[in-house]
Amino acid sequence: MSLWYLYILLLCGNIAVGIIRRKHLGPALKVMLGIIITVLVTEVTKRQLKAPYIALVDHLYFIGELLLLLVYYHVLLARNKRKLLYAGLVFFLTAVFVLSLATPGYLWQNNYIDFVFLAVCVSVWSGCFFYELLQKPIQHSLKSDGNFWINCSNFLYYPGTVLLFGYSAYIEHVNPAFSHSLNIMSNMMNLVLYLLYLVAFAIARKQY
Amino acid sequence: MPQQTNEILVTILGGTAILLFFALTLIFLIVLYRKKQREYYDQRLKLEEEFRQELLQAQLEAQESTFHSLSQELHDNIGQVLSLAKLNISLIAMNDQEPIREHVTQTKELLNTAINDLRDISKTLNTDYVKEKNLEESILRELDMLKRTRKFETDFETRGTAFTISPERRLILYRMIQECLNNTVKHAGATHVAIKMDYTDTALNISVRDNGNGFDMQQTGKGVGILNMEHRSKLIGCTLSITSTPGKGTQIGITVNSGDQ
Repeated sequence: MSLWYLYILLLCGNIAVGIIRRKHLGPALKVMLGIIITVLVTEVTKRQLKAPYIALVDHLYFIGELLLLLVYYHVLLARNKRKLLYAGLVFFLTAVFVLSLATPGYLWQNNYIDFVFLAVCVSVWSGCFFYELLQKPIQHSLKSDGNFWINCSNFLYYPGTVLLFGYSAYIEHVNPAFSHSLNIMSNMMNLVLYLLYLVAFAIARKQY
Repeated sequence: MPQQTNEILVTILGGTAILLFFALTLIFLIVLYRKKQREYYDQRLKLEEEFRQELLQAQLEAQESTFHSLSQELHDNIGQVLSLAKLNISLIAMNDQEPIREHVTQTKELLNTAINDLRDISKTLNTDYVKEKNLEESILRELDMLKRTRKFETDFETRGTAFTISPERRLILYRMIQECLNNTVKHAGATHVAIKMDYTDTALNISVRDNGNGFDMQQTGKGVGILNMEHRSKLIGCTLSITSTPGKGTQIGITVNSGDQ
């Protein structure tokens, strides 16, 4: 319970800092601010819902999250990397489509295999960002590059939670109590994610 | 069932730990790579700067060496010839009649002036001489030479307690002031030149001001003289400032920190 409030507080903090420092944020970080507002709305909405609807919102949110992150990376990455973004989108949508065909009622289940596909896409896109970062002029400061912090965060969060989400349905089936304790781990990773996002918004400076 | 739970736990935690480890390692390597890149870049800049300084130093040393040779040449050859000519004329004057003697006296005076001027020029070019004398003396000699042309009024003022400046820096400062005066004579169309030396606890502020035509700093490019002064100021780490307004003369400020000596 308290972790959830901390999580919401962190999201609000991100939004507040992002709005206060909006003049210092580049276009990509402004998109990221939009994503965080969406996350906040989704989390608060989920809180009002009951069991099967929560899973539905989660699955729809994953699709939305991928699309929003696609916009973020579309703004952030160079033109020649955009093919990878579209390939990721096609891969994710195809996988989700096949999954929903193969598993009747998939969208209503606590089975988060789609998150695994999302995590793969975001990890690859983050990797592309890091590759581009290495080509940037030496004067480009990592510390004040908000996108560097955002991508560090993504690069830790998505691979770090992919197994937790991937196995969630199975664990819940064999040991529901254990599943609950793994949720805490997932929430902790969420806190780390948004804490690093907060750092990104707090210290970001436009660089040319 | 507990056995199965343990296996799942190991798989998830182990797998997550491995993935997190890879992610952290990659981020760490990126940061490290950028840090190394920056270090390399800084080092290259430093080396380039050192190379520039050495090149500049070599150029100035070559220039000083030329000055020195010229000074010796003026003193030992032309000076000697003029002195000999003066001696000869003195001998003629002793034996000749009154009208010729008057011409001879005038010629002797001219020769005297030429010898004195030559000696002064020789001194200003002589690196060892400049290094031996203090800056005030050298500046006063320069101003004296200007005054003798009867085209310039000069003022010299020094304030505060002088601190020691190494001979090499003194020489460079002197050359910078020479360059200022040279510019004033050549381009300014001035009639008055004032030099102020203000010693404070932390620095020596030198100002060279003339009442000449001045120039528009935006439109007029930097000539060789100003570029030389800038190079010399970089070499001894002093600050050079040039202020000029058309019709209102030019002021050049040189600041040398006492700690840099």
